[in-house]
Amino acid sequence: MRRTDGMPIISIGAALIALVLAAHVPEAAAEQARTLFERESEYNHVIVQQEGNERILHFRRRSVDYRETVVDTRQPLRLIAEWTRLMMAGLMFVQQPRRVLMIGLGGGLVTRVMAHHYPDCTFDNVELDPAVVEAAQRFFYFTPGPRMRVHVRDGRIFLRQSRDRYDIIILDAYRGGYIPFHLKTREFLELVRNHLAPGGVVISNLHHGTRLYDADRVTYAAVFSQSYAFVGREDSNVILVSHVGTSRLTREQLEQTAARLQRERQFGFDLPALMRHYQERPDYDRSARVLTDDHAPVESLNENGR
Amino acid sequence: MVPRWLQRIAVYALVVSTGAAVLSLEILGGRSLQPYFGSGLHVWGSILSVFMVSLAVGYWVGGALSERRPSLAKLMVFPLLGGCIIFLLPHVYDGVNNALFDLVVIRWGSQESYASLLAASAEFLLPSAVLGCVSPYAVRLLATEVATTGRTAGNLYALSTVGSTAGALATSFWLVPLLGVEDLYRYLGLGLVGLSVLGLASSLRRKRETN
Repeated sequence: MRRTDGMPIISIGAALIALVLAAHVPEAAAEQARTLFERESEYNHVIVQQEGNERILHFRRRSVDYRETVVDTRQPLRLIAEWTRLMMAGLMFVQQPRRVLMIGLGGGLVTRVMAHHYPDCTFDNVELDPAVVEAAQRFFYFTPGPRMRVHVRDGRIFLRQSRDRYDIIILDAYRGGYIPFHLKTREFLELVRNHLAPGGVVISNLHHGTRLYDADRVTYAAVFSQSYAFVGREDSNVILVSHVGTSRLTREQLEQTAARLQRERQFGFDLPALMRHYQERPDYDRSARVLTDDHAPVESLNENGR
Repeated sequence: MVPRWLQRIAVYALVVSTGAAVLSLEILGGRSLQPYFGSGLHVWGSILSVFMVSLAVGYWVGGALSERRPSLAKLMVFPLLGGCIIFLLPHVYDGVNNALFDLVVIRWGSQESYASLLAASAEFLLPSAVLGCVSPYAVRLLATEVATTGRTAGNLYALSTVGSTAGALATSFWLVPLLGVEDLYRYLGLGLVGLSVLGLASSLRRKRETN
């Protein structure tokens, strides 16, 4: 989870404790953390802070700061946050990505690192909030250009309008701890699937802390025939890599591909090591109900622990 | 004629119910537009402005109609009509929303906010205007003399607003998570139709008895 206090809020009691903690934390943290940018935009309360070498993009919601991006200002290509490393697992599934779509820019770290290692690839980043784009450019070394495009739009609207197909589509449109329901439903995932190039994959950032995870997994299974889960240990993040088709890669094939890519691309992160997070056995309740535009109780599911 | 006490209860019940229905419809509208037009503020802006315009129209029309031999039976026509339209909405909005998106955003190259405003108008102007007719008409039915008209109107507005509060809370807290959007449109429509049929039947039966 990206909550900085690392505490899943299950009950009202816990929420109150978090509120009290959050009210006290800024005083204590003020000594180390320096706020570089703060804006209440149309969609988010965006905060950029510097803590030592770490520059952090927070979205504050209900007095809780959710970490969206963490960048090392001495080594800007380093992937400090576990979930950003885990997202790179998607690279094992695509031989030569040419086009990548990212929905939910954050600090733009993930596509920036990918662009560094794949110089022939072009990137489309879709972000609803102009303040986030501004923060990414000013504080997170994100530089738009012809290879690194930014579209200030709703992710679903962008896809609905686009006729392009992508080798990798990354779904990470968090708004302070939650994803808007219209970016979680079967209809949305079908739209995503229809924009995949042959052999393309979807990389999704999920959380396994609540019952929403079961509904998410069942919904992905309804749209994509294959899914591979990479489970985080530091937070409750699960990175899910999904594609269509009947052929499924084995653990050995993935390990070999990861080792080969690591040699060829000289990643700054350890791609083969991500296989330790690979969870082959389905870790979700298959009787959960598929999320649809008609019925997507994401808020109430997200309040119930598993 | 319908006895006054029964008429009073029927009118109050109807005013509370339509108040609840309007807000419930408003929340359902925002929810069902979001998948088509995104979660930008424009969706809620579209919904709220369309409902305000249609309520204004409804108040005006309802007030005008109340001058032409008002009766409880005629009052029941508004929720009957509104309920029918609401019941039909889930069968048409997918087509309407997609067509408007294609026209406004893809063909005209315009913002999705305008598409969402047009969609909200197409789907909600009519039902919320029809439901808006209820309040002024109800004031006319219950008002007996000039001296107490303000009090009657005040009571009805208060009841209608209490109904709206309940409708908003129930819809967003429980009903949408429980039933989903499409079924809730249908139940809302059916509820209004059922209520108005009940009201019509009782007032017509009373009329026959007195004849």
